Amino acid sequence: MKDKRQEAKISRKYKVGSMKRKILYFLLLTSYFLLLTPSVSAISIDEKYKPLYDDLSDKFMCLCGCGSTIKTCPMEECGFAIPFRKELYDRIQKGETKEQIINYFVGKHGQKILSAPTKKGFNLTAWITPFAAIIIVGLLMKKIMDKWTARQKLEDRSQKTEGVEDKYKKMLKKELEEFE
Amino acid sequence: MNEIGELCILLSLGISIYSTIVPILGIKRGREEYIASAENSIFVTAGLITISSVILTYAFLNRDFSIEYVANYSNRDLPLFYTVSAFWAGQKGSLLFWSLLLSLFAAVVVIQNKNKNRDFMPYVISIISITQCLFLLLMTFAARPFELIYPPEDGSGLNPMLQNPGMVFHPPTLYMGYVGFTIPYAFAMASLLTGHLGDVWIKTTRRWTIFSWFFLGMGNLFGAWWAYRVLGWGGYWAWDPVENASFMPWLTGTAYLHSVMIQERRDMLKVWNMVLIVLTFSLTIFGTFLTRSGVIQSVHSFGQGPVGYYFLAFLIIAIVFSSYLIVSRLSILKSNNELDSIVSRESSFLFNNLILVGAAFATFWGTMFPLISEAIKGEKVTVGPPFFNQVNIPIGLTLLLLVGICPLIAWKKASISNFKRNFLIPFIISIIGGIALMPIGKGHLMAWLSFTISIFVITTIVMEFYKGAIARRETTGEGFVKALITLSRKNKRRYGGYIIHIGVVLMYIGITGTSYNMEKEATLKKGESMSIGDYKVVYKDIKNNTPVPTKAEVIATMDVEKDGKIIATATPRRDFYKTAEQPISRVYNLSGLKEDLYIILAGFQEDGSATFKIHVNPLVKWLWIGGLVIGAGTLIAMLPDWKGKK
Repeated sequence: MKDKRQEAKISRKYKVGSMKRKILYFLLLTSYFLLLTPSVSAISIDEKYKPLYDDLSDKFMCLCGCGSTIKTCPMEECGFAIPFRKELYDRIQKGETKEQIINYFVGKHGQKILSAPTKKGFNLTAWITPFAAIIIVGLLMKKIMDKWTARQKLEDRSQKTEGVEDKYKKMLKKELEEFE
Repeated sequence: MNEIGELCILLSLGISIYSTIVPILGIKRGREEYIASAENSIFVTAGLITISSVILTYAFLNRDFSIEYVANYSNRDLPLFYTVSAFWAGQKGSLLFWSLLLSLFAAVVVIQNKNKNRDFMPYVISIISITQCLFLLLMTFAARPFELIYPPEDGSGLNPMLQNPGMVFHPPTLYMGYVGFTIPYAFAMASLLTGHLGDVWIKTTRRWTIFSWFFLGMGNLFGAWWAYRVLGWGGYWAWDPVENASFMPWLTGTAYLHSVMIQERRDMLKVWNMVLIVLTFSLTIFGTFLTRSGVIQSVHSFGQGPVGYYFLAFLIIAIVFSSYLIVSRLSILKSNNELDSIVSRESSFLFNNLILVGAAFATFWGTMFPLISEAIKGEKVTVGPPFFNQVNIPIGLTLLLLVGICPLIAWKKASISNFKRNFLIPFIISIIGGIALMPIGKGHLMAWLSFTISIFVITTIVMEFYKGAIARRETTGEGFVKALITLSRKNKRRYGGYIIHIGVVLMYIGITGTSYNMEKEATLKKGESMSIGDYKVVYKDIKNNTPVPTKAEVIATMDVEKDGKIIATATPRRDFYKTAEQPISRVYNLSGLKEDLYIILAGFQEDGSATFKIHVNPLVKWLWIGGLVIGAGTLIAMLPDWKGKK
């Protein structure tokens, strides 16, 4: 019973059929793509808006799961990035400021739409922590190294002193021997 | 056949459990034959896993769709090259591939140490075997590569995005790096367990470390190359969590590679080296956990499932076990020497370590921050490329500067004359270079800094070669070129290292070029053109083609003009696969040393007009050239010293 169900499931999944049917299916599929594939909405960005558009499109994250920003989303027909780009450009053209646009999209999608955490409140820790960690560990390292070098200098000095003492001891011994 | 494959995995599991326990028993009971038996079992495991792997490969070549994994990752039209690479395209196959590499590496280790390091070997075998057990357990219970299904007429096929040479080489090289770090880790643990904490374990695993470090780096680079050629967004590194996961162990591995030199030379930093190798090994497991758990959203994920949690459990055990060992041996891990001066090679290496581990921490922190924020604030934030670029650029530039400084500072204590001798000329040259580069630095301060520091580093390295060759010529009377070659041959590690540094600088130059990227997008009718940078691109025609029944191509033809002359005919295309939901862009890339002209056919309409995204990406080629130079340097550093052996 279980096998039959599995067989039916696999047959549906792989559309088991004759070679002719497969070729026909593929031809239909190809013509579908060739005729109906919509163009990836090219937005012709006016040169005067381009710097702001480039800047903002990199500040927002594409939420299609690609892990890229709106600017760099590699998905050819991304259902998220393409309408987003259009809306972003519309707002720039309307003369909205950078802050207004950011606030609008954050209001619409939440903080996760931003490609980097804000530099406010708890999110500030995201920015500070790596540098703070490097500086603190660096200072600690410096302190340890100072301690090491100080100890080494002391040892060097005592070795030198020992050397001097040895020299006089030898001289004394020699003189005593001569005296005897 | 599949039963044999599965049986081999099951037997390997049993034998690996045996080779985990028996060497320890051998030590406890003083039975040498137990240890010999464990060593033999390593060969048996390697043989069995190789048989499993051969069977899976055969199943792919034979289109045996009764095996679920084969049906899910191949089909009848898949070219031979990609059919073979489908082996590691999915979760189950990649686990088997990992296991295969580990078993082969373990066999090599046993052969290499047949007559040496006998006190270490029982522990080394045990640690490698327990790692092997993890993979075999997964393949037995959670992700069975030979799981059977009712055979479909054809398979689902390989994701078209993976049908690219970059993707054929990227996973194996990355896995070789990941798996390779198990060997130095195993020796480090063995040295802690035996209490023999000198530099023997470091010297024994030096080549393994370089080998693993190199392949991990190359794995990342192949991944970047693939992303650049296939993903079609004009870049190569997106700071995706899984990319970060393979970048972090590379960074800590680089730190380890440098700090072991101090232990070898000065018998210092024993604890730190232990920490670094544990960190590197743990990060390789952490990376695997990230990829396979679905904890963090990533394009590279193998999906959610229990597999990731096996890795998490193993990771916790490894960290606790290693930390306990390090803490318990702290008293005998104490260094025999201490720093003579803050201005010395040793301290500069420590700063290099600080920056490398700092970069790894920054990457880790950024990768995990969404989870941390969600746990603390209940709000999910995204940490994307802008964060990583802003945080890692200053760290990266500091590191680049240290690449120039570290190798030239004297050991123990550097004097002012040492500084003058080594740095005065590079400093002056880099200042002149920096001034000359000022026009391109306007608005690109970090890029300008990067180029200027690169000049400094390259000059220091070139001077090192030059001074070495001149000194040799004076003492031996050899010609300059011969002196240069002999010099590198006589001290492969040092000069191989310098060549690697040159490769790193070239990569920095390639990465810095990103600051000057240009991008344009336009819809053109036939005969229309668009200009970008020095190029004018004229859209000529669009055609469709069906090279194989499962794939249709739409190819645009464009003339690329520069200085009024046609220099190339560009053919960007889009491929439509029966098995893929979305078409795949096949980028046209006119690559040069100065810049790449990168054209994407983004869409087309019924009236014959087409949409193009065109990028001009300066200096990208230097990134790949840098990779090749690093390869050459690594090879030199790893070459055995034949003369010495005689």
